[in-house]
Amino acid sequence: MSSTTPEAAAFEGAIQFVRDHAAGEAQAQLLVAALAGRPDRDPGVGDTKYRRFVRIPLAVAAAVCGDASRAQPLTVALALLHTGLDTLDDLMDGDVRPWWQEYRSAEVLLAGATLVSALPQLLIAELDAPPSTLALMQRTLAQAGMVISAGQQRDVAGAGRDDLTVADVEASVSAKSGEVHGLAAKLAAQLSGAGEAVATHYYEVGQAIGTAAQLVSDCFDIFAAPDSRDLRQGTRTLPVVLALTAMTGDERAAFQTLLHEAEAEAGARTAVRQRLLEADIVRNAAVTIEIYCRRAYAALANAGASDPAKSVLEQIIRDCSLLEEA
Amino acid sequence: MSDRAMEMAMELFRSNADFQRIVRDSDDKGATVNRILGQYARFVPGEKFVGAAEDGLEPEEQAKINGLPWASEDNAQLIARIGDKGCDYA
Repeated sequence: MSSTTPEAAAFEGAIQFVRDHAAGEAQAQLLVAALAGRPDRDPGVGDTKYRRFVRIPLAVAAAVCGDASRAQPLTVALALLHTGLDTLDDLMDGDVRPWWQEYRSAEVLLAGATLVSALPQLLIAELDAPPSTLALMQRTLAQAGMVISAGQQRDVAGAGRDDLTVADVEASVSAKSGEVHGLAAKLAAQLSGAGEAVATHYYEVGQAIGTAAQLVSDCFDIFAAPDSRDLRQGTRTLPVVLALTAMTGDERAAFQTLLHEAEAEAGARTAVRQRLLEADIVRNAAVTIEIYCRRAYAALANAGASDPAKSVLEQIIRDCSLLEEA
Repeated sequence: MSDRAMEMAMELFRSNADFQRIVRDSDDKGATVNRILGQYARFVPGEKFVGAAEDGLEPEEQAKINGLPWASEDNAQLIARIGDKGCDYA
């Protein structure tokens, strides 16, 4: 394998796993179409192709058993799962990705479902670990699937709604991105031989990091991206809901109208973003994100991690904080 | 202060060693905690803080509050950091 980063290794491994296990060439082609080009095609991954769902399990394995490579096969399963979830998310959001141009939506749905519900389970079944550990990991994966599904359901139901609370938004983000990263951390801990209490602490570390990172990403969409995809899609992310929460009466009604106009008009999106800046929403969002970073630090301390793995995980947390320098 | 604001303020408070020490060294620990939590709650999203806790801080408490990043950093700094950190979608 010629990979230069753990992320590249994870996706190369995922493509190879698909080729080794596909029930025919047509299925292999469909599934590889979902995986090919990652992580390079992922937005914002930088020169190192940094992906938390790969780095977290490696660091957790290093913390638990002193050997990061113990979790390397697991990063392949997580690459398959993450790609499947992304594929289904795009489909539900109506985002047509360039790599799916030659496929029908039914085929895209099939790819997403297969990546989520068959391949990660198959890979875990083939890991080098005692049967009791593998059974535990399969259970952890299935439980996380239920949480992620409920989070997605909440997300879909929330589009365009103006009565969401900040707690609703946090619950949705926590159940989706938070759960994916909590799952990554917990599976790595279990595979590395951690007991239930320690594995749960690492789950909490991953879940808090995943939630914080997604909230930062949502802030990027509103405050830093050239245009807001979330406003275009009517997705009510943290900055918007924080603003709505602080408004009443005519002010709130006018902002709701502007939000609905923003789904179709670039000028309205610019106006929404300006309102959010004027309302000091960025500071409120930074504090909310900081809560999750503090939870991650606390859970890491409870897990009893020691250096150097502890420092790696602390750096991953720091990367999510808007109140700490990188 | 709402339950949510109190919960969030407590989480931030617990992670600050300076405030932990100020409380430990104070004569009236309960009052000190309340003063500091009141200040934290000013920065909790969705809370419009009103109340006596904004006044009456001891000089050291005031200095620490003023030094908190969420109290002292301006929007431009925060947005620059979002630009640096935020585009790696989770």
